[in-house]
Amino acid sequence: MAIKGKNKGKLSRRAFLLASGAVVAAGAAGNFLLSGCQPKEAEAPVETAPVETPAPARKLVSVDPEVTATKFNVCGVCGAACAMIADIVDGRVWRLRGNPDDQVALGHLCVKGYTAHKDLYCPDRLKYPMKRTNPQKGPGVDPGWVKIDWDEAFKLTADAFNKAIAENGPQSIAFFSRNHDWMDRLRQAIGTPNQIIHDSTCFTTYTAAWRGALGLGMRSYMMDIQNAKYILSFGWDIPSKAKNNQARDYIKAISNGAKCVCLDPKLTITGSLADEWIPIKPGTDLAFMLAMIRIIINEELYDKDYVEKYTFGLEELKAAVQGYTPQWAEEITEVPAATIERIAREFATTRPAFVPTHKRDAGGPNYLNSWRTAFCTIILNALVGAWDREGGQIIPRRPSMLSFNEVFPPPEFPPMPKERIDGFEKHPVIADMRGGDFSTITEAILSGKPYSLKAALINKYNILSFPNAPRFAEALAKLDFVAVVEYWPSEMAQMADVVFPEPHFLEAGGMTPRDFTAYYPQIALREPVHDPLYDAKGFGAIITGIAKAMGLGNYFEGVSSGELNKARLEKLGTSWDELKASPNGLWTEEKPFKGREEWNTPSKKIELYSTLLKEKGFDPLPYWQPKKELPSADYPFYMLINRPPMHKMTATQNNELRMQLYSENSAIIHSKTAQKLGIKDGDEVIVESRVGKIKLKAQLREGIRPDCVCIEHGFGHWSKELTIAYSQGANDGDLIPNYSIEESLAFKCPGASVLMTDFCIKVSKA
Amino acid sequence: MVVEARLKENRWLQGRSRGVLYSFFSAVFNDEVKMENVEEFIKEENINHLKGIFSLLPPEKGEPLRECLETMAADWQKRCKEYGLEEESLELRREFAYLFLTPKGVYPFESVYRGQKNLLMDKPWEEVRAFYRRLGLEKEKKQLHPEDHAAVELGLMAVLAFLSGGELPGPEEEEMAEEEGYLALQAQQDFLQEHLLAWLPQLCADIVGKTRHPFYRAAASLTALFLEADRQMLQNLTSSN
Repeated sequence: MAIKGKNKGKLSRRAFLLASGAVVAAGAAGNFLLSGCQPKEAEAPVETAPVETPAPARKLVSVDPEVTATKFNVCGVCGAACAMIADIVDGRVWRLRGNPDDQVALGHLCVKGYTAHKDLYCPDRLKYPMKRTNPQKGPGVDPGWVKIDWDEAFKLTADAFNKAIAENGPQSIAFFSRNHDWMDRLRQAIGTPNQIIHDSTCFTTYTAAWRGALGLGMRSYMMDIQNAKYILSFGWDIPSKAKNNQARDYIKAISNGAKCVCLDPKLTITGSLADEWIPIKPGTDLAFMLAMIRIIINEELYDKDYVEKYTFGLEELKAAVQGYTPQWAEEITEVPAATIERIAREFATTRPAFVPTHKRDAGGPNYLNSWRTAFCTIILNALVGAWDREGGQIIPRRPSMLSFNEVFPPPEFPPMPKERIDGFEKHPVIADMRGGDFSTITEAILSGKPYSLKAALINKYNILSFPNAPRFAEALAKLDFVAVVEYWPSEMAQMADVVFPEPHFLEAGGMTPRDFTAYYPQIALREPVHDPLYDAKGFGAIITGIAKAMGLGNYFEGVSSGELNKARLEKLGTSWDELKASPNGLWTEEKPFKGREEWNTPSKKIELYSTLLKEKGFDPLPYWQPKKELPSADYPFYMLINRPPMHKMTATQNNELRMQLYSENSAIIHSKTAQKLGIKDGDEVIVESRVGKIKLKAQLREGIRPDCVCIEHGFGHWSKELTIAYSQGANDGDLIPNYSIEESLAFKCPGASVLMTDFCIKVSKA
Repeated sequence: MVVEARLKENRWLQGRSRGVLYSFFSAVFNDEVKMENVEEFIKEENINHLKGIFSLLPPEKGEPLRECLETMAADWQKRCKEYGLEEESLELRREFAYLFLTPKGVYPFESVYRGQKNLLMDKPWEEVRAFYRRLGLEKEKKQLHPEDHAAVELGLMAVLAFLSGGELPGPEEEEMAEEEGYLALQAQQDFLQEHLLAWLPQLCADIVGKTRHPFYRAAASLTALFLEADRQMLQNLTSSN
């Protein structure tokens, strides 16, 4: 049959337009539009089959399809926030790659970023707002979800919050979230001091030390490690985390001949690429560092010009470390005194030398003494002049951004109780950072002390990340109401009364200023790479919706991310249009690097003797203190936790590509230890601490101390709705003891350490 | 172009009924079912009409459809009476979320079923979208489901069935209307063969295996049975030319 006419083979527009009205139980039948015209040549479907051009032997055949569009975005997997370019083929993200002009990405992403579009297209995602109909809550309990519209989701949350305020006061509401301007405004409008952040499980020991010695409110993660000539790692293992920029720079440094010494009870990627791996006893890095400091000062090996000009308290420090001889340190660390002496001398006489640090390394909140260890990393870097100098730790050069409140001045906030549910305000050095304590929150909720918490809004945190995770789940179940903002149907989402779905970062637009990873001010454009696949809203819009439903809409009048970005860019002398038109999706203010001359301490110098710590009632110098718990007959092994490079905490496991590379964690045990226990590689084992036990496979290695067991974090998902991640491996967090506020304060740690690995465990064949 | 009177008559007759069925199936996959729509669908008059259409099929195809339809209607009435409309409505809402919004249920996307990666927007999605484009159709922006979602694919069949059945006013010139009707018929046959039958029967089988509610069991069974029967109905209609 021949069809004539210019619309050959197509249906007429008029025919369709009446369709939706005529359809009984219309369903999706009303969802087609006729284009009404002949598609242009360019609109024809693009062939994505491999290019079948004959290729010479031993050369790869190109399988690249024709890219029909490119969009700029910023990776949302981790805080490094690499600027990325999405190559789109006929409406679908075909490939993600690093933006070559971005100072962080430099044209590369890590494995987590390269595979992020698999998250975008994963059918497991949360799709619509939903409410729970099953009042029972807990692991394995079906929430009985029912789809609801946004207005109902906002109203349910607002009603629950208003009820909590009326019956128990504003402090009975908590926001579990990283810092977020919209959320913080609603928190203040409600009048609750309770923002709970993960920081004390992550880096607050460093924050306290940085505040004490450098006067900097938050630490940075910018390092010029590529130009270092001597890298001394105390558990720093960012190459194992595939943090793109730092991993790349570490490889550059060692390729350029830098010497690297890695002290770590386990052999990591950093250690395996280092010149020396020293399996130091867990929690004793502080002793090693104190002995080093003593040698460097006593032998006057330090950078005299730098120390004299930029530091304060050398004499006090010298006096304080005199008892810390290499022989003393050898007994504690099990590293020979001669090795300690050699490394101290090498470190101090090779320039630039540098102790890189990140989060959960030796100075992270792992041990009772970690804040002192963090303090020592600052001192060691000061002694060799590594602070804000080439080859050392760099203080970020952020773009000068208007604050949210400057752009949108808020109406007056109601008075707010000072006492927090987690006791975080009782840590005077870091109280003002809002912080929050993942460890103390659990017993506070369960005991109702210092007061009752009734309702919570939780933004993308996972239960598995909390110390003693099963106990935290119990606490969560005790709350009257929990709203969860999430992308995945995570464990936290399973405990929610209402879930708010968020878009994937590739579906969202905006801009990302370089924050704690900026050699120079730079802003990266984020263009929506893909139309929304589901009915999701950004966190800011969700907060605004809840605020309006609570009757607090006046705090958000005129507030929008578009206006915020516009105002911020105008202050920088540019505009949204200019950023959008930028050929590389970046606004950049390149400045020549000039090292910092002054610090924010009372002395304006790096304080080797911290006046702030002294004033707040802590040791002003990093004296020796042992870790809290040592192996015993009941629990004979040290616990170590690491993270595999293919994953970021608990957020990345529901991705087939990443799981092909690393699908489950295991108990990493030294082969000799395993032999004594009758455990073979791949055997199922029970690992038990004083608060919990988990079952997972044993992995036997030589690269770990025989008295340690290491478990990689991020596994043991129990949400059946995470179909790829479900039941793979086990959660290390189930073993970590949580503490009450009183116990936490008794640790006398200015950084509110939650002692993530300061406990011992036993292992047996399952 | 000449179209035989019998074909025209059959097309008109069956177009509306097929359109109603596809619309119903589309609605079941698209969103929570509206109680009043199901009530409308299982009205005696409608059921009888559909049974009349099923009787045109060979008994081995027509009978299971008739039985399934009758079971669905009977179960529906029984449950509404037993539990009340409100409770039954909530049960159905729970079941919809369980089946279509959480991974405990099914993924109603052709891309997931026919693709290699268990992801959305895989190769089958491209093929479905290309099919729509060839017809000059595209998905409305407000529709969030991708083009290869079961509801959208079944919705396409509904639109085409109504078009081929003359239920939707076409071009004023009779010849153009005839052309369009035939085009819609041909498109249904192709789409059914190339797409719906390639994955929807499996989706329906998965729903039958996972659902805890008789309505979804019946609706999924009816969908699968009808797709297979429709293959033959369309063959009859087009081969009559």
